[in-house]
Amino acid sequence: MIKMEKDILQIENEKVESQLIINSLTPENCEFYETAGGFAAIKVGDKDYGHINIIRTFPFSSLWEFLSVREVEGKQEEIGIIEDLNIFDKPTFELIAKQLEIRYFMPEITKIISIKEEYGHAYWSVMTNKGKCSFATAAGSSGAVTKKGNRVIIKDSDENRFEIADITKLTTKEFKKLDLYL
Amino acid sequence: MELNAKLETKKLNKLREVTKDEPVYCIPIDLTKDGNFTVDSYVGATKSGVFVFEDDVLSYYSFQKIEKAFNRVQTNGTLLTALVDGEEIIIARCSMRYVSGIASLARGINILLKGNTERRVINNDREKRCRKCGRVLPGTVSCPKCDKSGGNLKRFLDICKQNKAYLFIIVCFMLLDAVIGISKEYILRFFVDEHLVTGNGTVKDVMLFFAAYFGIIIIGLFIFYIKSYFCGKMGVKVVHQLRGRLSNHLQRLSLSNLNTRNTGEIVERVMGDTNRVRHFFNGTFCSTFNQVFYIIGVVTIMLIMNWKLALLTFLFMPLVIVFTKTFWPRINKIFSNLWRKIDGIQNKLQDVLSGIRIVKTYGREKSEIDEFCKANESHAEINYKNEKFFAIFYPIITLIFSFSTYIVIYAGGIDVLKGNMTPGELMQFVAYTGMLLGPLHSMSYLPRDIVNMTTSLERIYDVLGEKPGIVNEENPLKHNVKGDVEFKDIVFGYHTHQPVLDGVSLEVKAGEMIGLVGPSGAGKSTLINLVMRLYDVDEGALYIDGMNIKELDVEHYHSQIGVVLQETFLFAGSVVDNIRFARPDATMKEIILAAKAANAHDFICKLPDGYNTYVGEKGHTLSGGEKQRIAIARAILNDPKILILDEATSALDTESEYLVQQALERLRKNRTTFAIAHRLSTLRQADRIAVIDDHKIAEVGTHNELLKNKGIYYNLVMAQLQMNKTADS
Repeated sequence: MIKMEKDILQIENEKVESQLIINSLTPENCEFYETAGGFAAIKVGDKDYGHINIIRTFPFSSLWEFLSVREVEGKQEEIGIIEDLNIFDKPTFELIAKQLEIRYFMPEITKIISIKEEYGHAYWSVMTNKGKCSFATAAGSSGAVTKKGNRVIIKDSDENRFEIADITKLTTKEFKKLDLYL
Repeated sequence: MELNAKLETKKLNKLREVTKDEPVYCIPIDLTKDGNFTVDSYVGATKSGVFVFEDDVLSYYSFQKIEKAFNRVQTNGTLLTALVDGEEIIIARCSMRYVSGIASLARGINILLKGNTERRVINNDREKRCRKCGRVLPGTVSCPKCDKSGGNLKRFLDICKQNKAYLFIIVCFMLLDAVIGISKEYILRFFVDEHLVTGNGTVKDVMLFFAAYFGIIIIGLFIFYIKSYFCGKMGVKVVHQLRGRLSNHLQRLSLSNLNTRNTGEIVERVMGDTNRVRHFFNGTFCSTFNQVFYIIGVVTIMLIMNWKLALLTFLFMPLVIVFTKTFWPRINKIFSNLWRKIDGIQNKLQDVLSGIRIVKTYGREKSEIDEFCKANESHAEINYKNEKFFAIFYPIITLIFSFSTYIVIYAGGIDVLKGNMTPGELMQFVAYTGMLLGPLHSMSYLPRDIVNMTTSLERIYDVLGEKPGIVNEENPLKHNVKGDVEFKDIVFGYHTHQPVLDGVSLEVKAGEMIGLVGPSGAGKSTLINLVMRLYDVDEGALYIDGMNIKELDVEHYHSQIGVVLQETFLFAGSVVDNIRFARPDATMKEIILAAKAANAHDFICKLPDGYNTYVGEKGHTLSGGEKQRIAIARAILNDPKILILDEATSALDTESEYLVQQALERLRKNRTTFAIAHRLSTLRQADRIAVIDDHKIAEVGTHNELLKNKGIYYNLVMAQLQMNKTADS
């Protein structure tokens, strides 16, 4: 019984210790590959984790740094962290970028066609890099449109996000439409 | 949320070419697999497979190839994936708009895959958009645009009907107000034409005119006061009626209803929306509708007096309306920007003052001052810009508003010189032109005010029209509970796309104490919420003494349940009010006996006013342990057959815990007890322990059985032992 207790404690301690360090994933200690279904997967040493989740730890400030690589099932334990994706080769970069694009789907608005206010909501009709789309934001909500420098992030009533990368590139007419919400 | 969107015939025929089965589920999607926006695209399932229409392109996956479906929620959007031939592939992709539908679809597919073709997944999530026009519903069931039943107008008229006596008085005084306002100018005209222009006037005439004009102004003020008084009274009465109905109804709604809205939203409807209706009666109704009488009267008289001049005056009216409408959004933005900045400064200040100890401890005073100064400067800058704008805006708007007056003076002056008009008539005309411009300006806001009021009414009646999620079935049983509880294959989630309990089964005998352990968020509190029937299960069934809980009379069943939670909430009132809460007819003796059993009597006696001591907010402050013992006394008084203890002792110091534990042991005798505890030592009295992990019951057994199994419970016990050892050393 005492021995068993010690084993458990050792496992618990190791678990706690492992949580204190950053298990850095580099091209030397891991290999990313694409599953037949189009998902990113990873092999670390002899262990093949299969399909993984890749999460940006700083989704607004660092797009390609400190990416948390996690298991998909169960408690979604962290496998490791990619400190800088740029150190990986091009196919790996592209594979992970594709996964991140799906996870952080944020179409870039290239043209504001119209913004109409009705019944407390602003209805946007826009052209994005992913095609034409329409969405609605709560008209009185101060959190719906946020501006940082020249970049604007719009959160719609369904919690989708849209981006205007550079508002200086909008036409005067488009800017006037947007200006009421900035 | 609807899971059966209608496929157009062309698509349906295309689907029929690959399968003879009709769609069981069908959900619209807005993205292609490549992540491009699409319209008229759908994903769904028949009894034999999954179909996806990306525009008109059909992909079909037979169930013979699919093992399992998943809803893989991403940060912005979701993926419907499936294990096809052992490989997980993306079936369909959509934005967050359809995430709930996709979650239900994945569940539905998995049920179909198990061969159960009759059972259907129901999605209870609230529709966010109107199915007909796609507009966002402002937290209501019906769409303010598409609801053509005349609902809001009918509601408004109903409110008016309930207060018709007030309404009659108000309309009468509105008419009088308009008559007085208009006739005032007649007296002026008479005075100018008869006494000033002719030169026949005397000082006595001037005095008489002064007295008459002054008198009419005083009468006008009196009428205005009466009208405003009744408008205000009507507004208050309407708000009183609506708030009363809302609060009554909210009490009858179940938690499942209330959880679909946050507390702020409910408070906003009871306070904010009703206030907006009151403002409409006090403001818009009282002043703007009054203006309608003015406009009708003034326009009629102007046309009769000099129709040509009148038409010339009206020419400029649309310009005033267009100008007001054009600049309104800009002015709106100016004010909202200013308020946002003021909010920013206030929040910053509140932040710094609330966290002043942390700021000082970390020596961050300078940076905090800098940030505050920055926010302050930005506010000053906005203020300066606004002042500059208004300095230009107001003169321009005054100029535009005065155009009609200038025209009247010019054209009317010529008419006077030609002898077609008297100077008094011209003065009267100029005064009427001014009277017309004011109401026109405020009338341009009327549509907005009406929309605001009807939207508020819509939101109020949306709550009033909501049926409680938990209601008695026909002929409910008033069953005296013995205490047998059975969970059978229970699936439940507060939101359909996030099941909190997934296939939970457990049988509990009457009088048994069940300890519930497991990590936070595993579903322990949810399980007892179901026992308390605060929610109904999504799938499966919960039996009490062999009867489905849904067959029991809700109120009667609730009266047989006792609850002691981690944070005891005491209502504003005396100690005795709080103990008596569960049984208002309890005698003094019964209350003291219950308090004694709860180890509460002694400390209550020491309170300044004994059992009559006022507690609750701004009342006498009780410690956590004292509050808990009052809650236990409340539960003892109720003599519950099923007892719920949710972390009842976790927030207490050792001495309080001992007293509370003693009281709880007395309380739980001969009652079926469900006890949640993170500190496992508090569950040593439990007959059995259920470990809930990953939304399921992972282990059930006595303390010794679970230790022998060396599973999750064993690990938890060992980890706590180690923690205690570390703390002791």
